Amino acid sequence: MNGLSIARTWPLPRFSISAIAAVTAGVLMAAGAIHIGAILLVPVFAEADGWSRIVPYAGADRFTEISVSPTGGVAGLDPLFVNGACRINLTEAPAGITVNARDRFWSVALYNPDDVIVFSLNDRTAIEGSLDMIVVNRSQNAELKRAATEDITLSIVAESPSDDLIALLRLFAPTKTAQEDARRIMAQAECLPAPSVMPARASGG
Amino acid sequence: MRAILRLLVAAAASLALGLWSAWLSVRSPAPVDTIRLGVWQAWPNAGTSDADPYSRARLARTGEIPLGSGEGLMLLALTDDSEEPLTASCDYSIAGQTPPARLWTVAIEDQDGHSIGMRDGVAALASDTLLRADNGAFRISLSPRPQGGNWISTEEAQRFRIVIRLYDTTARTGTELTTLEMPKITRGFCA
Repeated sequence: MNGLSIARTWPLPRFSISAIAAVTAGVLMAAGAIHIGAILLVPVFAEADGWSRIVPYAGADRFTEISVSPTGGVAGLDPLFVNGACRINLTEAPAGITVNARDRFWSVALYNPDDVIVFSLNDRTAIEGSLDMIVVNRSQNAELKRAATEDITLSIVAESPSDDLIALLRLFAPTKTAQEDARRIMAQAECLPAPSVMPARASGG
Repeated sequence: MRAILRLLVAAAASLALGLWSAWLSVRSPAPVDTIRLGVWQAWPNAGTSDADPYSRARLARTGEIPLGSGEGLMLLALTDDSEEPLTASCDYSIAGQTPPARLWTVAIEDQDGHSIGMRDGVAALASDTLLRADNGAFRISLSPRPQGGNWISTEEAQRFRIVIRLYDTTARTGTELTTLEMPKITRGFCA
């Protein structure tokens, strides 16, 4: 006899074509499920998503500048812009945003914790370079529509599906002088709770 | 015993295949939900509530802040027109016609989407100060050495990518976007 048959303690496994096909199909189906699960779970577990990177820069009740550092920091911002962020919470009251800037491109975006921009506009929407905007949640918007006051019709009303938001203000500033101007515009821009826009309740407490 | 071993091998294969294919589709830049215009890529649904799960996963991973639909559109090029990766050891020229936007900027950034700071020269140019030919055509030189005309310095970059951001543009809508004529990226002298 030859040595090979002695060395083998178990027989070679025999696979039929149908068994291989069944295993392959099973592996592919399981891989598909894992693939879909992984894709859906990435946003849940990602710690360096846009929202968590931008939160440290966001001012309370005012716009503060997002510094553009070459490494780390916030990705995807235009280096020719001065970018500002302001944290908004709509639980208690709507928020009012005002920006006054002429002769330059600028834009405002409302960004939510799901990394979604729920609302955005640019300076073309502003009347003579000044923007007066009110950010509301769904129930506040319904209440506003029921008792539309005259003030409101002059403002842009943006409805947000979530209460927690960051308002992003991007000001085009390609030169040093333009950057200084942009920082002044940002300092003068308002981003405040605006309880007064809500209609007074008839019951009075 | 052997059945359990086979099951484990099959499970490991499924896990590896599933995770690997998931990683492939969310790495930056994602090949999913992309509009391609030559070497330029755009993700018009990124950062909107219409975004598919792949775009969401990609943004969560790269941490990029997208442009809103009322703001503009970002287009990204990872290679020159001959599909070679962009490196600082080569000179490039970006030439073409102005895209349909009120304002647009060209910038170079690193592989993670961070802008690159420059000692001398600039890493970004805007359409309002660009030197142009009479017919509106422009040419931007990318080089680590100073160049005449429109110049973007690549001296601090090693591998980089080119971003064009169109502001207040009509190009976000599907049909406009697919007919958009983007500038050509041609490789010149290589050191």
